[in-house]
Amino acid sequence: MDELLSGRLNFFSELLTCGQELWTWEFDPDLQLIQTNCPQSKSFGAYFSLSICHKQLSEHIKSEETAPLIMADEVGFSWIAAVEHTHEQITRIYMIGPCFTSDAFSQLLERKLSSKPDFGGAVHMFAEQASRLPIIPLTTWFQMGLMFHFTVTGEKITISDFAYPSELVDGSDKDDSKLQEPSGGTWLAEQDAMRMIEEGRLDYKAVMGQLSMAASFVVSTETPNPDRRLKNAVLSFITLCTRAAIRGGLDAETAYHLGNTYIDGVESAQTLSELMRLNSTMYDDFVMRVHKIKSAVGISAAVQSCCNYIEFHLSEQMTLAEIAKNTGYAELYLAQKFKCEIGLPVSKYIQLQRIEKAKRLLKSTSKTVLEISEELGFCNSSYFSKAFRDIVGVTPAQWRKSQ
Amino acid sequence: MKLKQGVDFVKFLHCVQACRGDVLLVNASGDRLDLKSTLCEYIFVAAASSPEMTADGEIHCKNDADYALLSEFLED
Repeated sequence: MDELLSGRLNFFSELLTCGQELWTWEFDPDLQLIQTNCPQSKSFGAYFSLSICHKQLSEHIKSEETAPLIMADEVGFSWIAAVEHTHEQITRIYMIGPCFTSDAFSQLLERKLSSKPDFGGAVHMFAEQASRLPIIPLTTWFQMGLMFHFTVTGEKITISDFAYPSELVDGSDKDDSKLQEPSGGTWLAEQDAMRMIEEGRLDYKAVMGQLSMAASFVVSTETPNPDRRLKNAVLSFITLCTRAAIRGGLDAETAYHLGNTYIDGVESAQTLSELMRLNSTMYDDFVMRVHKIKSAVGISAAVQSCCNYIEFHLSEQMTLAEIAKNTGYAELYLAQKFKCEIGLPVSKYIQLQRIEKAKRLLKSTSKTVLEISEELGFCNSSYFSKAFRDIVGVTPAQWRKSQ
Repeated sequence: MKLKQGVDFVKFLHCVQACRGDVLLVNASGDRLDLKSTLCEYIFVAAASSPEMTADGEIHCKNDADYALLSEFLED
């Protein structure tokens, strides 16, 4: 480890121990422990080695992923790993943890332990260890992860760049849900996030960190199930974004339709990373649409309604005659007005919109190129790939990889 | 069967995961830990940090064939 990194890490580790017991761990790429400042390293090192988090981190390293990984085990211990790499080779893994990311996890563990026989004091001893772990709200935990990743790699990233394990832990009782008031910070971040949509601010990514946090925590009901809780949070966030887009000028029908499409996506999301990608795409989509409306002052109602119709029928074969009939305008009138205001013939616009939607699906879902080409009404995937390459410059698979 | 003293308990618990049936640690008071559950594994680790806590415990495998898998950790 170079001296600079060593100095940064020591400083960061010291910061983490100010007022709480949060430890830093260093592993080689085979996950052999090199050092830690945890005074109970034997116990906590064993908890990590035995947990699902160890397997998840091994998979993460095998896949040569360099994004930080946030993990939680079956009893609610959470860890964040940052990867040091030189010349694309992983050299060290640094980790912070464990902590609880919610009172609910710590209380659930307490309840589970209280129902166990004491086993000669072992249960009491473990409960004692667990009770000293810090409870760090997930918003703060993410923020610490960003700083930790920066400390290790010198790279500034956003929360949407985090990696999440593909296996989710769900061993919780539904009865343990409780109500928690959102914090003042979350409320402010949420207001900012909504304002960005209402104003169609394309520079919103500059404050994306805070927005992502709001995205995860606008929901007030916490359950100890991280999978369901995040899905609920994203669903609530979509609802808020839908309303904000309407306030920003997007017509209600379009906004609700779009919101529902993303809600379906949330329910079918299989992994946390898929969920976070979808959340980010959804937000981006609403901002872009409001921005388009605000900047397209010269667009008439006829052309706007034509665009909306196209947007929601991209998977069907559309003719100008059908569009005109369904929007209530004369075909020739609509064709001329569309060309004049948008600068493109309707058919070319449809093709462009299909490719834009394909990009969103490639980015936010795990659907195959074939599935996407079918969903967008292309007669076969070769034709879809060619059309995509003609407009974007690379094939759909290459584009997805670059994202 | 009793656990050998000074065994690598993480390695032992990894072997337990490979067992077909449940594996229990039962102490003199009759308290039981199902070593296939993550929480009980953690409790076992806490217990193993004080060797006297595991010294009087016995390992019971529900599936007899599993004793062979754990033989290197068990006293004869």
